[in-house]
Amino acid sequence: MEQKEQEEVQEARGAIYGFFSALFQKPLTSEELGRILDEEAASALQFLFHDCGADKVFKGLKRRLEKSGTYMEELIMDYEALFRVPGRQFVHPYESAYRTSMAVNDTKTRPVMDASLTKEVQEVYENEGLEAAPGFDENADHLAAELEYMSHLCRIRAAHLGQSNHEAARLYEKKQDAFLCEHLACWVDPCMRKVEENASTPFYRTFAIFLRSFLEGETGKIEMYLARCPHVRAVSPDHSP
Amino acid sequence: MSMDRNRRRFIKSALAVSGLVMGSGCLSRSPKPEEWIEGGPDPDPAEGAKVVRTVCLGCHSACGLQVKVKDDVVIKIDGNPYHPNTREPHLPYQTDPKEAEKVNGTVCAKGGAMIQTLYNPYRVQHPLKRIGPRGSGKWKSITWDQAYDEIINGGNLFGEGHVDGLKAIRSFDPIDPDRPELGPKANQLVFMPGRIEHGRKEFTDRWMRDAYGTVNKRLDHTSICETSHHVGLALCFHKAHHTKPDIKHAEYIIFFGAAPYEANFPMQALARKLNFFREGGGTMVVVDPRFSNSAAKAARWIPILPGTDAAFAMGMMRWMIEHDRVDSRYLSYPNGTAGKAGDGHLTWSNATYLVRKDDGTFLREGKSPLVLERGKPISAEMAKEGDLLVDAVVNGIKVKSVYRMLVDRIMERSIKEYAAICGVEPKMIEKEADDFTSHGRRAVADFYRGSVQHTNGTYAARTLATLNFLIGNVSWKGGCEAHGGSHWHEMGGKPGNRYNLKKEFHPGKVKAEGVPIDRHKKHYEESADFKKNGYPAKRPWFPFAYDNVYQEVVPSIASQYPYPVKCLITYWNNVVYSSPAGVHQVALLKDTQKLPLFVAIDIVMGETSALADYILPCRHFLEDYGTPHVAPTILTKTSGLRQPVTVKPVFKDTRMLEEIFIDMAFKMKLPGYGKDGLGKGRDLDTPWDWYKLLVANIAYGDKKGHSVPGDTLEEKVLYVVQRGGRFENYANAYSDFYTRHAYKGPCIIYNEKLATTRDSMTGDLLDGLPRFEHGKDCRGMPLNMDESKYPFYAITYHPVYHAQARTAASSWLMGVTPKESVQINQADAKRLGIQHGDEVRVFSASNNGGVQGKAWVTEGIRPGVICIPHSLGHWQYGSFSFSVDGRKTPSSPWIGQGCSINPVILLDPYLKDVCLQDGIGGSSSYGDSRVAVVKI
Repeated sequence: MEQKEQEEVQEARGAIYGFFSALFQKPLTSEELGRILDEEAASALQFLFHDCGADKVFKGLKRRLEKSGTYMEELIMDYEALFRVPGRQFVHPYESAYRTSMAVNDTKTRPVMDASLTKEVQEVYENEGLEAAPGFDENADHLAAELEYMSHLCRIRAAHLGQSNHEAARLYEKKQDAFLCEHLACWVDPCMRKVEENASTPFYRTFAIFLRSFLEGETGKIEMYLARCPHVRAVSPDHSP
Repeated sequence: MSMDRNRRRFIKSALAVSGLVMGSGCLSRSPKPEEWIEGGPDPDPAEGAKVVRTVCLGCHSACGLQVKVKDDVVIKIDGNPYHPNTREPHLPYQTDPKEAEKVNGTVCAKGGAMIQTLYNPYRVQHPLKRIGPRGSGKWKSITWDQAYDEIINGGNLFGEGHVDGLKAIRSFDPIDPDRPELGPKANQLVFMPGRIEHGRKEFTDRWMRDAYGTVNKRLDHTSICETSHHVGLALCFHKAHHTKPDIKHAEYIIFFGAAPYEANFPMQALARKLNFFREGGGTMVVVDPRFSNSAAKAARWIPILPGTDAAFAMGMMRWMIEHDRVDSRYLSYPNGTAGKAGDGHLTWSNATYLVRKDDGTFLREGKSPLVLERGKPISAEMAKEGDLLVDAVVNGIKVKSVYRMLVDRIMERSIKEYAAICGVEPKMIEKEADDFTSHGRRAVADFYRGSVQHTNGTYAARTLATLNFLIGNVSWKGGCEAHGGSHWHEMGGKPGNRYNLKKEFHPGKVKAEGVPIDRHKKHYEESADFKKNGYPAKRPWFPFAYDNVYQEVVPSIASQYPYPVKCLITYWNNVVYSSPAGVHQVALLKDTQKLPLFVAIDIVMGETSALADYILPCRHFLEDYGTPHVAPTILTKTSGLRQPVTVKPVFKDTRMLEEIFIDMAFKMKLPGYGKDGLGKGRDLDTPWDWYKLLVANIAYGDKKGHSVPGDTLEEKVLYVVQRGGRFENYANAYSDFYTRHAYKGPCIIYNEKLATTRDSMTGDLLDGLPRFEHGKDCRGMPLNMDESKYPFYAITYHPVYHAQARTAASSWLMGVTPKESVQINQADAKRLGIQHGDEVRVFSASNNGGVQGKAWVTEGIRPGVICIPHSLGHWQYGSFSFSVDGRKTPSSPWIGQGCSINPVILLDPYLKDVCLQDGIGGSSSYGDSRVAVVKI
């Protein structure tokens, strides 16, 4: 690949990660939904996720929006139930919740938030010179934060490529692979499967499928690293490892 | 498409989606330097800290603490992982204590903040003597020797005339030869601790009762807490007085007047267990006028009117009876053998016992109550299955079975009428009755303070307990636990214990006798007053009151009934602040004629201590000993050990309570102190001389051969000390289908003693059955509260980050306390033109000046009800200056933030100097008052 193309591919990856980060950071506004369903954007998303049946999905979403006067409210409620309010639909969008589990009444497991894992992720950001943005009050291992971090790495790599800083670009390539392998790829798939299961609107179900598909492509080239991915670790009810 | 074109389209498409959704961003550039700074991190301040395990007294939960101390300074408080309150499962007891230091149990905000009350700069640091009138705020510091000398020997101590000291008061001549039942003059010394726990209360009982000789050995706070809960349950069981659900195995729990996620005890364990319960699909229902933290997590919140819990329960019972959802098999078993053989019960009820209609006693043959078994009278001890619905003539005597009487009582009102009393829809009662009876024995009705701090408290307790009896759930897994894990018996008396301090170890002890000043556990009919004057008594008598009637003490002293008192010693007591209508006791305490000598043992200048003649500064609980027990929430045996966490006290001129009493005993030459004070070869010179015997008993255990490891006594004691107590392993909580330490005894639906005792103020017989009654005064008259003038019920509660009076001294806890403290429903507020944060005045017929605070407008309280949390609104305690040795002390106004409900609680209209109270159990009424609210 030419250097310019490499740069553009990284920009593109960064854009996609950034898109998903913003999508899962907060509920959509009606303008944003309108933009997503706009012909040009819909066409871009259909291309990116054509193997997920995106074209059919977008037709359905548009029809739904036109027919239902309350679709925005449904979307907002669905977002809140999936990503914010602990309840039956809540998917625990945190890495530590998927990396640890606890036996409950000896019969089933439930996710456990593990501060030490969250701190690990926070330290990754800090080493990169990043911290929580003002107004972002979620944990460092929140889905949106980790996706945004990947977006950041892609964009910085792209910038280095653009300036022919090959060594720096290679460093960022390693950081991307490491973060995917050690963090993001270890948990987003089961999290998105949960979104598909629990979502009451086709919108979030659809974009969960899209993100899974995107990450499959991302991690395809680093399968050998995934083999070394830390397994889910069980904790005893008293939270000791 | 070619690879190149795909790539181009990919890039174009990806860039097209960028910007579709505008997130505000999760990450931003950190102002911190990106490069790693050379050098290691700051040293861990806790490294090298000594760990001492003790027991908290931030509230009464008695959670184990693991305290880190460095250079004799407390730097961190965590939970003791051995203690079952703080961890589940808790650490196995045999875990090495050094290894246990790597693990923490939980500690709540209050426990962690106690570090601030330990180092509270407003603690009283030296003995103080007043130099102006009582309550003038003028003090001088004196030596301990001077304090002891004056308190013991008396004299013209304040320039106001002679005052008898403890020596002169200690006489065994009768107070009144015409009324010998009152006892000796030594009874004119009254000891009134606010909070005093096991280990320590036995020590002071020994001093007061067995050495000094006063029956007023310990009149502690329980009646302003929840005593009618204990009394009501004591009248439902044999030697048990506290129930809790077996949360782990229950499927449905309905809480009346309880907030297990905020208060109750132990709060940490209850909250944790209820989380597991709810995750496992359990249904929790909360019955409370206020939408508490607990209600927020419940499946249903039922906002009844205050004081109507028994009516709700009786409504449920009516539905249960009508729909055949009562466990009539259980109720038919009249003894333990029948219950066990029949359905494996460990308990039985008196539902089939026959009650004489003429006098309310059981029909008996000899001593044994009779039942009918298939129509034939037989001793309850012999029958296999008694007849439940009996209304007959037996041996010429008209009788009814207890269950027949109960059904008749319940049927007096329809479900609609019960619902109207509670101010709820009938379907709420029906729904809970249905759900309560849809889980076999894995359903429990639990209740606490909110249900019983009313004039009908004891009856409410008995009614709520009876709900459990009707489904036969007592002692079963998932049912009602009436015993809990309990504790090892530190005072001895069990086969395995090393020492029997109850029977021995007090040479020369005296016998205290007579009537306590609050008349608890005494019958008016046995007094000379009754023989002379009949009913009503001058003030109520409380034959069933569990330990004492705290709010009655000072008014009784002031009215010199049943006898004058010469000296009041208080310890950790803040009756004028913590009692409902306690402010009215300020004037009473200031009266030096009625109360010549008042000594307060306290840690701060509290609202009550400020009225004393002497303040003796005591230690903080982190500097103290004790062997506190836990509630039946904990199903494994638990004996916590409280012990000083630092070598030196924070303020060197303070003394432990035990040290103060040992000092005074030496000076007065009381029996049982000093050399051979605990028997030949056993001196009692220091608190540890006492506590080491208690710890030894815990170490050796109750059963022979059940001691902790160790070859010598000292090793065994050390084993317990290092772990902060002794704790049975978690796995031992259950045995087959029951809790391991289950209650085995009768469940008493009809209490014969209650039914055959008369109210001292009215002469009316009390009621042996579950019962709902509206609020009333001490003469049994309905409360005549002008609802048009005072439209709101007033209630209170204990927020999760506060406990009683003491937590206001912590800036951490006050920092998380909302400034708004008067909770009012949104619709009520709108009607009164009140907005959130507005200053309002709350007042009542007993206190027109009222209290002032900021309004907290919320949907989370029933309309027509005002709620003000406890623990706020101090007017002393460090919020206000006083003078010592001519200098003004510093103060912090934030300690006095907010307001308290207590000053506006109604006085009894007949007695006029004490709040409304439950005439049976002695609980003070917090929830029967009506108030008005106006915007200031």
